[in-house]
Amino acid sequence: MIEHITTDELLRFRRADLPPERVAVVARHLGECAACAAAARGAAVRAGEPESLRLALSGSPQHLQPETLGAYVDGTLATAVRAEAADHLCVCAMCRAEADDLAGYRRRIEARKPLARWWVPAIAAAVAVAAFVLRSPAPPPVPHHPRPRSVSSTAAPPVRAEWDALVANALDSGRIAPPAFFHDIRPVPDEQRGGGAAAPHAALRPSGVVVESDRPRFTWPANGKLAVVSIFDGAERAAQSEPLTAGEWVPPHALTRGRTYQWQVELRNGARSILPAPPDQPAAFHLMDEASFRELEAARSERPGDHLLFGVLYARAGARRQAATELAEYLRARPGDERARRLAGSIDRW
Amino acid sequence: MRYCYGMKGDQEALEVLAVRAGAVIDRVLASARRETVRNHAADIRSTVLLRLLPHLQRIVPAASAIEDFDAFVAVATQNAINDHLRQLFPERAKLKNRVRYLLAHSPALALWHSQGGLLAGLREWEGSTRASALPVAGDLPAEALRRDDDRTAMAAVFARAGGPILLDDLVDLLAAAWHVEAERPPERGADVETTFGQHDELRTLWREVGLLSPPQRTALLLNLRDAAGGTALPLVIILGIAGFDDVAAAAGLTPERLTEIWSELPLDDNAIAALLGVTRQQVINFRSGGRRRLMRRMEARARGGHNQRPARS
Repeated sequence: MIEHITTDELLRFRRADLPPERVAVVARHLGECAACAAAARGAAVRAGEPESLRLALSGSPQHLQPETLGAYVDGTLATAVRAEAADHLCVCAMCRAEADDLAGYRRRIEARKPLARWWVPAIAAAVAVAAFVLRSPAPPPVPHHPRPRSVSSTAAPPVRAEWDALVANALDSGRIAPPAFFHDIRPVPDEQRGGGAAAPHAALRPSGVVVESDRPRFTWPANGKLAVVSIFDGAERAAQSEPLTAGEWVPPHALTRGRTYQWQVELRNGARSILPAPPDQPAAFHLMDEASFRELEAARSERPGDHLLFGVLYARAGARRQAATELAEYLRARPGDERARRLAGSIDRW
Repeated sequence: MRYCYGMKGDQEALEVLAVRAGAVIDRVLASARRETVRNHAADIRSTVLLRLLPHLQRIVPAASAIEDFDAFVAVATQNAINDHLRQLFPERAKLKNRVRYLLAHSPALALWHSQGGLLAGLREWEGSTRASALPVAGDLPAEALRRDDDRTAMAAVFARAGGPILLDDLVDLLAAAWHVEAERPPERGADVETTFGQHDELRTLWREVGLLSPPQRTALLLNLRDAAGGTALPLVIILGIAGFDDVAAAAGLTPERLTEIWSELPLDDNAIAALLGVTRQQVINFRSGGRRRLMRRMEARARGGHNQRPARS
């Protein structure tokens, strides 16, 4: 047996810098000498090298730095960097735990938005409390200008002749035709199973519907699996999530209104699987166009409680579910309105 | 960075660089204000050196670049400190991430670099280079330091400080007020368990590497890189996962051939392509295909499916 290897030789072996004639000698000595092997292994373990090797084999050796983590949960990383970060998160439990925590924190912040507003009352309150309790000089509180409270008006709501005409026409004809895109968001009926209108993917939302928010909430049965959501506008990918552990996701950026999107979830825990599972078609939804969205906002503001109008406007926008809800609400108050009932029935049959 | 790459073999120059790197690491560690960092200085120092040394052989700084070299080492040291602290205090790391996030996403707040470290404060203070004295948590009203209202807590700290404070100080104050540092990771006994677990996992991973196709193994192992970009292949031997001859065989080489190219590791894709007689793109495809299969297999094992017979890809 050769003499024990030195620390210097071990370090040079680690950095692949030994003369060729010493490489195999040192390597084989580590395999034969329990003392040297234990010392080498101990030093490597203390330096976190087992994790380094594991991450190297996975192809993602670098931990995510805080700036990268923040940009990752915001979805603002460049595509290539985001892919690298996602790969790392798949193999690094420490970074994944931090990313999950920060993503949850971000969601809570989003719920308390806008950040610009919270600061004003927060610092004013904190400074006031500090000044009172500490009785020490404090910076002047930032002036707080509360928003004027809305005053309800007893004046008659503005009349929009076109809305009244729209409702009258719908009641007269007893039907509203679904828009052209409507059949694109409903799965094609399976003829071999008896045909008929196919139900949208029940476990995936949104599916088969028109959504109003340009940042819809996507939900699916996660079952503890890592998931990546992809949204497609035709052949183009419109958005993709980072690997997620929760069964829900809201895209960080608004989707384009007036478009029909398809989406699916790739589950990555072990063997890769996709929801909806082929040969089922991807889940699809339509994002309400800008004009319809604005018109509904105006109607809610100018004609609060006019469920018949809301139902007609929703139906015109292709939003069958919302239209049915509004017409049902209208019929609860006026159960004898047969024309409205006939209209609701026609929308139910889309 | 202004370095000359590819000038290997100058042992004397390497040792000079290693000494210089060691001095920079010591300086950064000595200036660390957190007691935890000073307590773990030896571990952090060896981590940084192990990360850096594989690079030094390829880095021969020109005289004008010596400051770049020092800055490079200082950043590597700071990253190692951060990684070390994240592992030691995972809950504090999460708190720090949240504080950073809030500072970066509020129009009224800011986070900026100064010579003494990252400073946090009101946007109007941005650019100040001096940190204000950190308020004592006990001097702040308890109702302003509620954990469920971090916004108000930060507002109270800044109001009391009257100027920017170091990010780490802010996090320390909030962590102390909310008892976050008490949530320490398992102590030594559990570390041993973790180490054994890691070792088992690496042995399993190595067995899975052996099941890849020969070109996949070659493309993966000869290009195996650690966080600093140096080769990670020696770790297989140092950690006792496999012997030298096994490593050579897995890489599709004789032990003699592996010895010859050892100092060239990690090989770039062109060199591996020449070795295999294929194109560079094929090398990339072999490696990514091999990695995907490895990860699939490891995930399947993690799920408890390790009894299934692995299929060759």
